[in-house]
Amino acid sequence: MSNRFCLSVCFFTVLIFLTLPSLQGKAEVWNEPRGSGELEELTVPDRGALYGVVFDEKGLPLPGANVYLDTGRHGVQTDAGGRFIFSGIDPGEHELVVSYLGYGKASRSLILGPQSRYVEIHMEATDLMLDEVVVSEAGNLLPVRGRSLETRLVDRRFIEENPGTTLMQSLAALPGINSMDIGSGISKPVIRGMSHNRVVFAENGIKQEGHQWGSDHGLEVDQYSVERLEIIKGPAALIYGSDAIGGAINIRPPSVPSGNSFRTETLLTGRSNNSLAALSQMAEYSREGRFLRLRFSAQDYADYTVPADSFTYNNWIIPVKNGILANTSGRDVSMTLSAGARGNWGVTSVTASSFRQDAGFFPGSHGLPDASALENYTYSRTPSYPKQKIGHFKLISNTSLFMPGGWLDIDIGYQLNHRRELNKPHVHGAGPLPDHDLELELVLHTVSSGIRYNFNLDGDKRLLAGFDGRWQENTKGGYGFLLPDYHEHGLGAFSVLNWQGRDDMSFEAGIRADWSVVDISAHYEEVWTDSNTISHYRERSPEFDTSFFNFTANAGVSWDAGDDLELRMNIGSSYRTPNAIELSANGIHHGSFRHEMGDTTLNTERAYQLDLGMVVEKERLRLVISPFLSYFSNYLFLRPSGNFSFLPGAGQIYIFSQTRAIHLGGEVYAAYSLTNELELSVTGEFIWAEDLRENFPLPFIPPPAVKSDLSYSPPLLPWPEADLRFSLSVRSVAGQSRVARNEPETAAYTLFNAGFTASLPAGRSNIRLGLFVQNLFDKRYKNHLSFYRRLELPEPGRNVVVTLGIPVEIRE
Amino acid sequence: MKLKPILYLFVLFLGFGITGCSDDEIDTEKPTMTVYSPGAEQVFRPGQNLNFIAEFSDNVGLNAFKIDIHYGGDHDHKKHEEEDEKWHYVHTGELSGRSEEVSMEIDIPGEIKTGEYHFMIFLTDVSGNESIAAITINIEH
Repeated sequence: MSNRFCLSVCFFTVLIFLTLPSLQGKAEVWNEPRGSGELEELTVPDRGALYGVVFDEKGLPLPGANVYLDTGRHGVQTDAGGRFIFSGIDPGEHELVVSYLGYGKASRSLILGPQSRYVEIHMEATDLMLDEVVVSEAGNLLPVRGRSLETRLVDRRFIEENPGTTLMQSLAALPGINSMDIGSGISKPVIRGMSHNRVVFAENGIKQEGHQWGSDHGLEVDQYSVERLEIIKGPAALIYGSDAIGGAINIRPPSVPSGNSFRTETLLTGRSNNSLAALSQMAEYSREGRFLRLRFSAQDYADYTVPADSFTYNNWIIPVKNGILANTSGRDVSMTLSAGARGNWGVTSVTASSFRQDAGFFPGSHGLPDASALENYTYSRTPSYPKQKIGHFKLISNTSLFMPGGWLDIDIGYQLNHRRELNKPHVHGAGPLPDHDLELELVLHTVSSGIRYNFNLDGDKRLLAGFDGRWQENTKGGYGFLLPDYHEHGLGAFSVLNWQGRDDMSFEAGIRADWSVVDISAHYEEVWTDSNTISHYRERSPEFDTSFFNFTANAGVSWDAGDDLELRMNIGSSYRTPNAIELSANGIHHGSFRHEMGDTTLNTERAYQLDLGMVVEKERLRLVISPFLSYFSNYLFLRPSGNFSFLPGAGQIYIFSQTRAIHLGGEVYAAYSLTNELELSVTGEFIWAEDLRENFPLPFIPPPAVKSDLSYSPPLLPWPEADLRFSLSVRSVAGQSRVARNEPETAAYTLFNAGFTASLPAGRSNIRLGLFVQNLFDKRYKNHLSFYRRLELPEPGRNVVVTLGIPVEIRE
Repeated sequence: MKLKPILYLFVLFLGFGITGCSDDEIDTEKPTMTVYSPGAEQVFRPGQNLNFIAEFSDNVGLNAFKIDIHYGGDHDHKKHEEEDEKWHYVHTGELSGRSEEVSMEIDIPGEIKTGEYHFMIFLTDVSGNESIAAITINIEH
C-alpha cells in the first residue's frame, strides 16, 4: 500500500513543481541585478581575502547591504548577488559588521588565518527568526548570538568531521548532547540527559512523530540529507509545545539554490567495524526561482564487532564468537524529493521523504540473553529475528509569504510511521503458539500544521504569534501487545515578543497555551486454560479518554556585554503530557521484560527551568559556559513497586509514578588557538539529577565527560585553497554510580579517536575527503546510555571510517 | 568592573551544582541469593518432587521472592511442533529481615511435556531493588 502511496505523492510533488510557474508570474529573479545586466565573475585571491554573501530573511542574496571590516577601515556594499569581498587582510582578529536599512546591524568577530575565508551572513536564520543576524561559519561551535537559550547551528561539515552510523552519533560530539544507541544503526537523541518524550526532533518546523517513548525506537532520518540543523538546549516549549523539556533539534531546509544551475552531490562512506557501505546521491535542478531536488541514500551494515569474546549476564557466561555481536546488522534506504519556488511574494516548498530501516536486535534484548540462541549464529549482513522494520514517510509543505511588516509562515505535514517488530513466537503460558512472526505492529498517522506571523512592531520590537494543531491515530497489530489503539489531537497558540533594550541587551518573553485530548481504546487479551480453550479475557488496557490543558511562559535576556563577552539568562517552564502507555499499560513490555502498569490519574509533567550562558570570544580564546537548573513538580518515571507480577516470566511490577525531582548541570567549551594552524579545544559536561521524594537518582543520566581535541590545519603550499585538518581527540567518561534502582552502574573509560579531513577545490565546489579511526586502541567499555547496557554488552571496538563527498555544479 | 558580580554568580551556580546536593544514603544495592537446590542442568522426572533451597539476603531488608518455572524448549527452531501440555509454575512468597533461608517442595505434575525448563527466581528488597537468577533444569522420563 505504501509503495503506491509514495508514487502518488511523488506525482503530486512533480505536479506542483510544474504548475508553480503560473502561480508566481511576478517572480523576481534574484541574481539578475536590478536593471544592470549580468553578474560579473568575482576573482578571489588565494590568500588574505575575506569574502562571502549576505542573505535576507528568505535566503535571497541581499544587494546593497553595507559591510564594514574593523569599523570603518574598510567598507563595501554587497553587489547585485549579495556578494562582497575584502582583500589584503592580515591574519588575526577582525570584526565584520553588516548593516542594512530595516534589518538593524550585525557585528561579529572573526579570526582569520593566512588563507582566504568565505562567510555567509544570514540576516535571518531560524524558524523562530528572533535573532537579528546569524553569521554561520563552517565548523563554528559557538552558540548563536542574541538568543536567551543556547542555540547551536550544525552544518554538513560538522557531521562529516564526526561521522557516525546515525545522525545522533555525529551530534554527540557537541557538549551536552548524547546518543542513546540500540546497536550501531539505531539511535535516540539525548539533550542534557533528557531523552524519549523529553526532547523534540523536528524537520522544517514539523515535529517528527514516531514512537519516541519507546526505548528501542530510533530516530527515522536520513543523516545524509541533513545540510544544517539547529539544536536548542533548554525549554523550547514556546515554539514546540509538549515534550521540549531537554530541548529541540530542528533540521533546517537545505539552502535554496541560486540562479539557473544543475547540481549533483555524491557522498560515499565506509566503516570497518560493521562493514558499512553507504551511498547518498543528490541531484538538483534550479531555474528561474523554481527548484527540484532529489536525494537517494542507502546504507547497509553487517553485525558489529566488540573487543570481547564473552560477556557475563546473570551468572551466565555468554560467548561472543570472533567478537561478532549476533544479529546487529541492518539496512536503511531513504528517498527525498523536494520542489519549490520563490519570488517577490515569498517562498514555498514541498518535501516528500521516505525512510526505511530493517535492523536486527541482539537475541536476548527481547526477553533474556540465552547462550543457546547464539550457538548456531553465523556472521551476516541480513538481520534475522528479532528485528524491526520501520517505514517513516513524510510529506511536508512549508510556505513563507511576505506580509505588511513581516512574513507569514504556513507549515503543513503528514507523517506515517509504520513499525513492525518480527520475532519467532514463543509462549509463556498455556495458549497456542501464534502462527506468524509479527510480534508487534504499530501504524501511526499524524497530521500537523502551524501558522506563524512574524512582524516588526516598530524598529526594535518584533512579535511572533502563531497557532498549531495536531491529529494523531495509532493502530496496533501483531501477537504481542505494547500499546493500545488511540487517537490524540491538540491545539496550541503562542506569542513571543522580542525587543532590543538599552546597553545591547535583547529581551524575549512569550506565552503559550495548549489543549490536547487522548482517546484510548480498550485492549483485552485471551487467558488460556490449555492450548485449545480460552477461559476468560483479561483487560490489558482500559477504555479511557482524558484531556490536558497546559499554559507555559518563558522570559529571557541576552546581553552583548562588550566585544568579547555575551551573557544570557532564561527562565521558563516546559512540560509533556503523559502518553498512552503511561496512562494505560498493564502487562509485560516485551522489550524490557518488565510488567509495567499505567495510571490514568497521571498529570502533565512540568519542569521549571533556569538557564544561564556565557560566551567569551577573545583573539585566541573562545569560552562557552552553560549551566542549567530544572525543577520538576511531577517527574514521570517507572517506579519499582517491590511487588511481584502474577504474569508468567515477569519480576516485580513497575508503576508509572510521579515525583518532585531536580535536574541540574552544565557544559563548558573552551577552544584556544595555539598558532594559526593549531587549535586545542576542551568540552566538559556534567549532570546531576535526583528524585526529591525518595532521593534516588533519575535513570538514564549520562556520566560526566571531558573531551579534548587537538586539531592541526596546515596550509598546503602548492594548493593554497585546499583545507586540510588533522585531529586527535581523547574522550574521558567518568563512571556512573548514581543510578536508579535496577539500573546497572557503569565504569569509567577513555577513548581515543584520530581524524583527517581535506576539502579540495574542484571547479565551483570542493571535494571532501575524510579518514577517521574511532576507538583507536580497541578499548572494551560499556556505554551507560546504550540499550544493550542492561545486557552487559560491550560497545563497538576499533573502527576505520572513510568518507568522500563529490559535488558537481553546472551553471548556465 | 560591573561584570564581576555576574561572573561570581556563575561560579556560585556551578558550585551549587557540584556540591550543593550531597549524596544521601540511598539503597540501590541489589539483594543477593545463593541457590543450593535445584542445581544447574539437574534432571527430574514428571511426578517427582523438586526441592527448592535458597538463602536470601539484603543490606537493608528483604521484601519478596517469586519462582517462575516455564518450558524453555522454544529456543530450538522447531516452530509448530505438537503441543503437549507445558508445565508452568508460579509461586510468590514474602520475606522479611536482612537474611532468610527458604526451603520448599514443588510437585512436578505427572503429565507434562518433557524437555528443558527454566527455573527463574526473582528477589526484591524493600527499596525495590531486584535480583534475578535463572537455572536450566531438564524434565525427562
